[in-house]
Amino acid sequence: MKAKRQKYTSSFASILLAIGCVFSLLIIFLFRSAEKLLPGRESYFLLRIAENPAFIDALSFGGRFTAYPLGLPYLLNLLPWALAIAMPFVFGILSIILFFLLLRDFNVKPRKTALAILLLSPSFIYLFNTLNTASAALFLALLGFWLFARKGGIRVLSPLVIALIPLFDLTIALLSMLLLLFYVFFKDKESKKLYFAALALFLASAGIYYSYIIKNAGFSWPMFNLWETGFNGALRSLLSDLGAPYGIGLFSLILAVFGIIAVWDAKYENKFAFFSIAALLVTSMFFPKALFMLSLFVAVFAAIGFMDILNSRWENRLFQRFVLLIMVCGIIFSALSFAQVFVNSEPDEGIVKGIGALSELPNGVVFSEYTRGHWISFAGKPNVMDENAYLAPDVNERFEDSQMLFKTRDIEEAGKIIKKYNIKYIWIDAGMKRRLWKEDEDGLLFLLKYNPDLKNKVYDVDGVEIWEISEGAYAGSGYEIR
Amino acid sequence: MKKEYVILFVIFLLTLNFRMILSLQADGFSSDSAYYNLRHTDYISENTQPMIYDELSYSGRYILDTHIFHYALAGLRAFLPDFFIFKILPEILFALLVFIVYAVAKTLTENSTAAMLSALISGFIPIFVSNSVNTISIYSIVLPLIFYQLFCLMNLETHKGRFIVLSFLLPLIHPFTAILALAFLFYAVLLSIESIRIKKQVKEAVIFFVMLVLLISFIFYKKVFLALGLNALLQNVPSALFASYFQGVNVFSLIYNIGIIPLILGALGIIFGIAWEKNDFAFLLSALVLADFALLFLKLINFNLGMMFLGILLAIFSATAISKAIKYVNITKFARHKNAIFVAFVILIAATLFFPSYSGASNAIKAAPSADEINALAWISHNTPKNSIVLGNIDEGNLIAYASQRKTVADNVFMFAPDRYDDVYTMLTSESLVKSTNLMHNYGVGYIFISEKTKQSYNMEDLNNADSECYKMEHESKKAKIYKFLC
Repeated sequence: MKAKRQKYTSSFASILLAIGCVFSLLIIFLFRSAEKLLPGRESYFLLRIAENPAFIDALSFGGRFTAYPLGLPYLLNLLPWALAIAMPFVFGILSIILFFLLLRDFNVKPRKTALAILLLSPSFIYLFNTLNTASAALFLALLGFWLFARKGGIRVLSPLVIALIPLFDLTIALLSMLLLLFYVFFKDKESKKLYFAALALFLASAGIYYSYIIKNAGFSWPMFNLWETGFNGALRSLLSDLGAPYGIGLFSLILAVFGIIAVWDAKYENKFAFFSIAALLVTSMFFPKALFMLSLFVAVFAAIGFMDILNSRWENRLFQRFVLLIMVCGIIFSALSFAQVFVNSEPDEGIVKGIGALSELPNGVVFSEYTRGHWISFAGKPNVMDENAYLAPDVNERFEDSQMLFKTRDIEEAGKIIKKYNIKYIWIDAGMKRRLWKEDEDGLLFLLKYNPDLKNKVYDVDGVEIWEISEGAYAGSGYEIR
Repeated sequence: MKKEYVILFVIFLLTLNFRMILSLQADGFSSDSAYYNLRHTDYISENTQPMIYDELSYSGRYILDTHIFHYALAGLRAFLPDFFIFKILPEILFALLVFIVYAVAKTLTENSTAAMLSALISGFIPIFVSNSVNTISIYSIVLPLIFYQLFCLMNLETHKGRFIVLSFLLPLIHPFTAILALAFLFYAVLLSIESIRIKKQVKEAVIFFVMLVLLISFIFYKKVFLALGLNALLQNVPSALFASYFQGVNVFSLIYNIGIIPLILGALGIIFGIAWEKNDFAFLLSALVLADFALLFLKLINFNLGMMFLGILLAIFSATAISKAIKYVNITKFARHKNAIFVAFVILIAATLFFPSYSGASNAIKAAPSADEINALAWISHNTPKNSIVLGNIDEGNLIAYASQRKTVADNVFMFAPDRYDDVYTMLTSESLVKSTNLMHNYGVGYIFISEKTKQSYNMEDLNNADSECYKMEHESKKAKIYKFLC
């Protein structure tokens, strides 16, 4: 009778998990309006590139060599819009299955709790609810790992899968190789040969692809910070509760710490996990995409921590139950809080309309903050700069000039920058106004408001303004506007 | 009734009377936050719901507050007169701290004489008295409850239920409770450094409390944490004001503000408790001192609040030193002069704590708005258009909003408010008429309120260009002026 009841409970938990999984992967689809179905900025970039994948990108940075992985755009090329919506879901389902199989292979318990925590993890919700390169790369990494851990002949496929990852996302690819190294070194020394085969293929694919890119694009590195720095910045990129765009939930992390403490006595058996966590934690400070991989480990250790609290003997049962309840509430709160922010994240309807309006204007370079670059190029207009700052032409100079143009009230100074980049339009939205200027007559806003050569607003709807630099506006100064 | 309880009650009455005598000398309140609390309590009394968007503060801004305190005050209004709730009750609540200090000190030392002297000291910590007298302050509830929670943890076997209830209540009342969570973490670290095993039940209670504080804080202050990250703890204090924290703090100001007796005895108490006795409770209280220092050092709490808290902690620690001294005296020939020594000590407390407290509190009472100033603000409420904006001292922003019922440019509740600290300073003190009038235009200033406090805070006699055609004196009394901005 008891066994039957346990089986029933287990089946019920599995069904609940399956429903939770589908719900977690469809948050954007369910709660974001159809007009702005794609959240964030990377999805717009990928969708644009997917429609016409090529090695020359005429719109990013006013025209540049395509210095980014083209794996996903080529994959989406068949049916860009449909696949852009469906692919994250498919990758999500497949990744969850692979993660579960990996936990089973490694005999990690409790699997279902780990899965539930992962499904509620903000980084998981982000990863598989919007189009991004990391979702495909993570799926391939999990597949590669799973194949690698197999016993049969099928494992020879793992080097091939791993070699594909650099074509989707270099950060995830490098981290996968590092974790695989830890795995071979600490857990499965007998698979050294297979690892070397994977490494050789990985180096071949990454080497060929990226040397070709570097050869054509040149080597330039942004010397400015795209993220907030310092201790607060590090925490803000790690924890979703502190504003990370795809961080880890605070309570999952706390539970994971409890989990690590619980298994600390068997630390030598868990060297692979501990080294991986340490490496991912450090890497995530510089490359936030490492958080996607870290969240898998956090989910496992959080589940161990949860079960440890549940099964250990507390002197006071009331405190024990309260702590468990708080942890569950905390994890759910982090997920809901993140989901709310994510569903309401940019672009809003105003920006989507603005992108549409911009696409209908005559051609010309559009100046805005680099965070708006992908939307501008999605509208078919060249931007001055965007977030693909690595290996971009004159990236630091463009950044400095942009900052100067945002801050200056001097028309001569502004004119020089406008001419330098042949800027024809200026895009300003409410989010930019909040971040870049204190008052509505600061810097560039002052010039746009009062300078007769600039104050030509061609679009002003729902917080988005598009200003056109008028023809002959700088005739006196010798400026030519194309 | 036990004799010690009678004496303790006398100490309470002494403390209360001291506070009441000072408090009743002023019609208004000594802190601007009192008017913030008054406005919100009034709003809840009228509407039964909290003010989420304040139309007057900063000419309109969102308010981030759990409003538990305001609901409690509004609820009491149903049974008690306003005078009692706003003037007397806060003094009673602050004075009640002597009972809690006694209880904690007695648990720490198991010596009722030492605990009683510790309670007496805590009632007259100068910085505590001068910052808490004649205010409607949320700390009148928070501080006693924090120390009571500490007492509950020290006596978990018998006070488990109360500990759990307070664990839910405290973070809902005020985020300052986080100091307790931080202290509990320091406590665990200190004990592990000393290789002392923490009692299992205490460990469980600490985990429960810390987790609960985190959860409630993240639920209530979600938006701030998302927007500012860990900087949310700085409460959006303007950088200029932030930089001025700790200016003029030195050993002498510490001695004067906390009092030489609690400072010396408290420090000795920490040494005795931690290094000699390795007392578990001493570690817990030291962890609180550490947490307070950490928050002060990182400028995460207001300097005065941190010092008030430190003062009470040192008063509690004094009990350890006093207890040791009593034991020592008892085994020496001075034992027969025990009573004389006791009286001498009480006189010493009076001399070093009572008089600085009185002087500090008198200054605080003087800082309360005068009848002239209140009348001037009442004049604004009767003689100016309803939507006009009043510029004044940032530390009187809530008073202006309360008494004049007009919009303000800024006040000292900075969370979710734009940074106007420097601009207010410029508008009030700039010699450049263009600069100040431009800013006044930006903020839509209609009237300027100059009080005695404004003159002191900004080191000014009057507006620099008061005689220009941009300003017209509309109201003048001995202690207040109101200008109309015309340009």
